[in-house]
Amino acid sequence: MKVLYVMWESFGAEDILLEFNRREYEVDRYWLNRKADMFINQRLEQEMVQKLSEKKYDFVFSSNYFPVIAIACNACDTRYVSWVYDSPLMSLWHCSVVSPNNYIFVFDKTDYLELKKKGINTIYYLPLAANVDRYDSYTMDEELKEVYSSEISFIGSTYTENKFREYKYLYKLNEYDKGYIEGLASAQKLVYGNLLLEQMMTPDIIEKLKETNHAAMREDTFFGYPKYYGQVVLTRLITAMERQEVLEMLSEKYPVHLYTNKSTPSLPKIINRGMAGSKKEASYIFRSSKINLNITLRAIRSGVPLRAFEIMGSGGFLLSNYQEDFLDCFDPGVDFVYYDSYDDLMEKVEYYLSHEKERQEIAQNGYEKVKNYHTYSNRMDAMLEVMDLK
Amino acid sequence: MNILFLEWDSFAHEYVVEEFRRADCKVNMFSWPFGSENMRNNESLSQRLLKELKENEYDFVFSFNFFPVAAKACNECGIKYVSWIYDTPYLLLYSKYTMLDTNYIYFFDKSLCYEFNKRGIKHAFYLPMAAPVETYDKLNHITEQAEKYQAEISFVGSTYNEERQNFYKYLSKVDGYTAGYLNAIMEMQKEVYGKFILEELLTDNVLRELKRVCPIRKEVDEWETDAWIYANYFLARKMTGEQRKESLQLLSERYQVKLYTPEATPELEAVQNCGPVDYMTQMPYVFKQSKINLNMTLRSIHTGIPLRAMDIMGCGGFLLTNYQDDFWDYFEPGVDYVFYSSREELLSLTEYYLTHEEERCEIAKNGYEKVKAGHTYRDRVQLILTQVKEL
Repeated sequence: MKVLYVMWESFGAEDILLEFNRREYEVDRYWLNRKADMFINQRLEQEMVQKLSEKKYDFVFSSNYFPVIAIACNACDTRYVSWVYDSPLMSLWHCSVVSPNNYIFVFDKTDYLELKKKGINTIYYLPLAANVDRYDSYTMDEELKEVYSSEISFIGSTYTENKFREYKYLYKLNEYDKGYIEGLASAQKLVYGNLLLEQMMTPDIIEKLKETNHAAMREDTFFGYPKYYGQVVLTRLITAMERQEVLEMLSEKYPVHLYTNKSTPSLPKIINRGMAGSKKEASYIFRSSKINLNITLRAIRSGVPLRAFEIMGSGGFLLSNYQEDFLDCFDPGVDFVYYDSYDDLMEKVEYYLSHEKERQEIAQNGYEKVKNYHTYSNRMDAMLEVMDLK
Repeated sequence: MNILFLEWDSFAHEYVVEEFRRADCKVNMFSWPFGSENMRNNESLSQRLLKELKENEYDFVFSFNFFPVAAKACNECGIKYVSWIYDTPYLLLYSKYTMLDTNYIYFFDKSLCYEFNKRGIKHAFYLPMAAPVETYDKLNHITEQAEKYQAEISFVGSTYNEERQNFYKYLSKVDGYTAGYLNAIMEMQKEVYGKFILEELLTDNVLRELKRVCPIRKEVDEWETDAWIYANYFLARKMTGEQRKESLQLLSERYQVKLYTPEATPELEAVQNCGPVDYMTQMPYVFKQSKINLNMTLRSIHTGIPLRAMDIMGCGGFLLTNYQDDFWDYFEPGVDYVFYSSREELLSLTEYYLTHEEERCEIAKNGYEKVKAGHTYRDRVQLILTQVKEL
C-alpha cells in the first residue's frame, strides 16, 4: 500500500507512522507548515497536486482535516483519509468536506451526527486509540516508581494562560449581558453530556459579544458565530473554571500531582510538577498514580479524549467526567469510572483510594479492553474496511 | 379503623375518603382552614383539633399535604398523623415538626422522599399519585358535552401568570447583572430535564441581591434556605410558565391546540384558550377526547409524576410528557406513555403520534391498563392502611 502521510506536530503522529511501518506500507512523508492557510492556498495546492501526479498513492493521510489537501486529492482523484481529534474543528464546516474522495473519521459522535444530519456522507465516527505495545515497552524500576507515585494525577492545561480565563472581554459587556453570560457558563458547568451553549447564543447576545471580542469568521465555512462563541470561547472559560475548582477541591483533601506548563499560584496546595516531558513520562505517571483524572475540555461534546485512551492503555486507573462516547467503547464501573457532579467526584475519589483491589481490577480491565479493541492497529483496520481496501 | 380527615379544597380527596370507607374505615371530616389561617402556629386551631382528638377515638389523622400545627397536636395525643404530599415545592414541610415520630409522610416525588429520608425522618415513604379509574370509566358515554372537548392536542394547567402565582414580579427590581444571570439560568434549566440546577446556581452574590429586593420572612420553626425558596417558588414557576407558553406556541403553529387555564393568553394567538375546567366533571372528558394530552411538569417537581399524568393515563388518554425520572419506576416509555426531552423531540413526537393512530391508541390503552391495575386510589389506600397498622 502506498501512502502519502501529511504530518504536523499532532498528537499520536508517531504512533500512526509506527502503525504504517508495522504494516510495511510504502510511506512518503510530507511536512505541513501549519502557519499557512489550510483552506485556500494555491501554492500548497499546486505542490500537492504535483506530488500526487508524480506517484499514484492508495491514499493520503492526515491527523485532522485540511481543505487544501481535500481539494488537491479531488483534483487528482486520490483518496484522502483524515482522522480528526479536535472538536470543534472549523475546517469540517468547509464546503470541501463533501468531496467524494474524502474519508473523514471524527472521534466525537456528536460532531459526526451533526454533520451527517446535514447530509454529509463522507464522514464516519471513529474514536481515538492507544499504542499499548509502545507503553508496554517502557519498563520501570523501583526508583522510577518512587518518583512518579502519587494518589491523584492530572496531566493537562489549566487554561489559565487562556485570555478568556481573565474574563477580560466580559468586563466590557454591560451588567445584564455579563450576568447572562456568567449564568449560562455556571449552569453549563453543572450539566455534563449536553452542551447547550450554542443554542443559547441568541442574535442579540452574539452582537454584544462581537462588540467586545471580535473575531472574523471565514466566509467559506458554515461555522457560524453561535458555534464559535458557544462551543469554542465559552467552553474554554468553563473548562478553566472547572479544572481550577476540581483541582482545588481535591488538593484540599489529598496530595494531587498536576503536570502542566504554567505556574499555578491560584492552587496553593497542588503539587505542580511542570510539563510531562518525554513520551515515556506520561506512561510512568499513569501507571504510578492511584487515580488518573480526565477533565475533558468542554468543547468536546461527547468524545473520548486521547488522554483517556493513554491512561487506560498504560494500565492506569481512570476517573473521568461523564462523556457519552465512553459508553460505545467501555463499561463504566468495570473498565473506568465516571463522575457527573462534584459531589459524585469527591465520593468516588474517596471510595477508590480506599478500595485498592477494585481499583486495580478496573485498571486491568481497562487495559485489556484497550489492548484488544482500541489500538492504532484496530483503528487502521476500521478505516481500511470503510474504504474497501482490506 | 377510625380516621379523622382534614378536609380542604384539594384535588381528589373525595376519592381517598371513598376508598377509606370502602375499606371499612370510619371517616370523620374536619374542616381544615388551609389558605385562610396560619398552618404553623395557630393556638385556636390547635385547641380545636386537640379537643376533637380527645373526644373521639382515632387511629390516625389524614391530610393531603402536611401541616405542622396538625403534626404537633397529633404528637401531643400520641396519634399517628398520615399525610400525602402532592405539591412541591411545599414550604410547610420545612418545619421542625416534620421530624416527629408520629408523622407518616408519603411523598409523591421520589427525590423529595429521599431528601427527607436523609434528614432522618422516621416514617417517610415514596407514594406516587393515583387515578380513580372506575369513576373515569363511568364517563365513557359520549355526549354532546363530551364532543366539545375534541382536540388534536390539549393541555390543562397554569401559565403561572396569575396574580397569586407570579412571585417573579417581586424580583423586578434586581440589578442588571442579577437580571441577566437569572434569565440565563432559567433558559438553561428549560433545556435540562432530569436535573434541577436552579438552586445550586444561586451564588452568594446573587442571593444577596435577591434578599435586598425581596427579603423572606420566616417563622421560628422554619428551616428551609433562601436559595431553596427563590429557586423553587420564584424561578421554577417563572420558567415553567414561560416554557409552557413557548411549547404551546410552537405546537399551535402547526396543530390544533386547546389550553384549559384560568388566565387569558392573548399572546398565544393560535392557541384556543378554553378557560378553566372542573377537575372532576370536565377534565376527564378533555383527556378522553384529545388525541395527544400534554404534561408539562412544574419544574419544582424534580422527579415526580404529576397528578395530571396519572389522570391522563387513568382516563385512557395518550400521554406525551416532559422527561421525569420517576416514570421509570412504574411505566415504560414508548409502551405506556411517551416522553420528550427537548423542543425538537416535542415536535417530532407530536408529528409522529398524530399520524400514527394505531400506535397512539395502543400506547394509551397500555397506560390505562397499567394505571387501572396498580395505580388507583384503592391501591394507595390499601398500602397506607397496611403500613400504618404495621409500623
